[in-house]
Amino acid sequence: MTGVVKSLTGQQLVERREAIVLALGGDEDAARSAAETYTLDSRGQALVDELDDIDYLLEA
Amino acid sequence: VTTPSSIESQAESFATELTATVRALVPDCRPFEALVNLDRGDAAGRFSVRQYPETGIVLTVDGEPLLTLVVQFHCEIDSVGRYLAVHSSKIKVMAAGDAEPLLRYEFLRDAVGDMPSAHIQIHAHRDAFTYVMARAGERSDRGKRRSRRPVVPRLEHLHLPVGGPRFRPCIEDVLEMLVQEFGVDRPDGALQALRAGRESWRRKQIASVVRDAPEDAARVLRELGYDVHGPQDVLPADNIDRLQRL
Repeated sequence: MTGVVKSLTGQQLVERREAIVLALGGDEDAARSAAETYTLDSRGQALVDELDDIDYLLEA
Repeated sequence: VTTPSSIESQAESFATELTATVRALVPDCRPFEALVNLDRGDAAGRFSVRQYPETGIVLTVDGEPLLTLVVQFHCEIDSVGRYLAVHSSKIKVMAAGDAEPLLRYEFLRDAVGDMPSAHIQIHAHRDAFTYVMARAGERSDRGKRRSRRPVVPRLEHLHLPVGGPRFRPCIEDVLEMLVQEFGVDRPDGALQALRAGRESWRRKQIASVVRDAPEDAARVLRELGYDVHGPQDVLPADNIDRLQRL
């Protein structure tokens, strides 16, 4: 096996989410709007993608 | 030492397969990484998978970076709690250094309304497309022809794969797309007729796919509780060419 698995609890995912929003400047809506128009750099775009991953995993 | 849960094992397998697939093209690319929410347990298990570095895998032409590949999968155990299902996938191709994709292959299992569940989106208004096409490598016949053609590359010169011989879009897909995207006039009942036609076409394709890989079909039927026996004499061979063809 070469694939890597990172297993986090719901709480850890929430904390990671908060850290990502901070890294994006603290305004998630603004970051998502910028991502939609591709005005974020590739690092910012990747952080928004990671937010989507976490939201999917936390979804009820 | 803790034993990985079923969902962790499936996530690892999925990430491993993706890594192997991309390493066919980029042998030294870093492993794909799956993220699992431990609190969901196996029955409601979900995971996401993405490439590393998170900004994308660089694809080169003659050793020079030309394109970047970004891959994102969301997966979960299906409603009967048995099989792994892809909930959504995004495969984006960018010109190296750009954040905006040139094109996106996307799948949304639960696409809402008039959104095709599997689709390609092309960001064709951008000069970046012309740039990467003009720099096409010469290791393939098509790339060689493109790079040597004394004309400005045009988007129409690209042939985007859409599922191969068995899983290609049908004419009903194209017609419904014209209705949804361009508001083409339609009589009452047109969409229902197109959807019935699509169902008929896909059922025929299912029959064809079974003939391409009969042992796989028999295995799945057995898992569903059917009593399936192989032929008495010679087992039919898989149609490897059709299963592998782009």
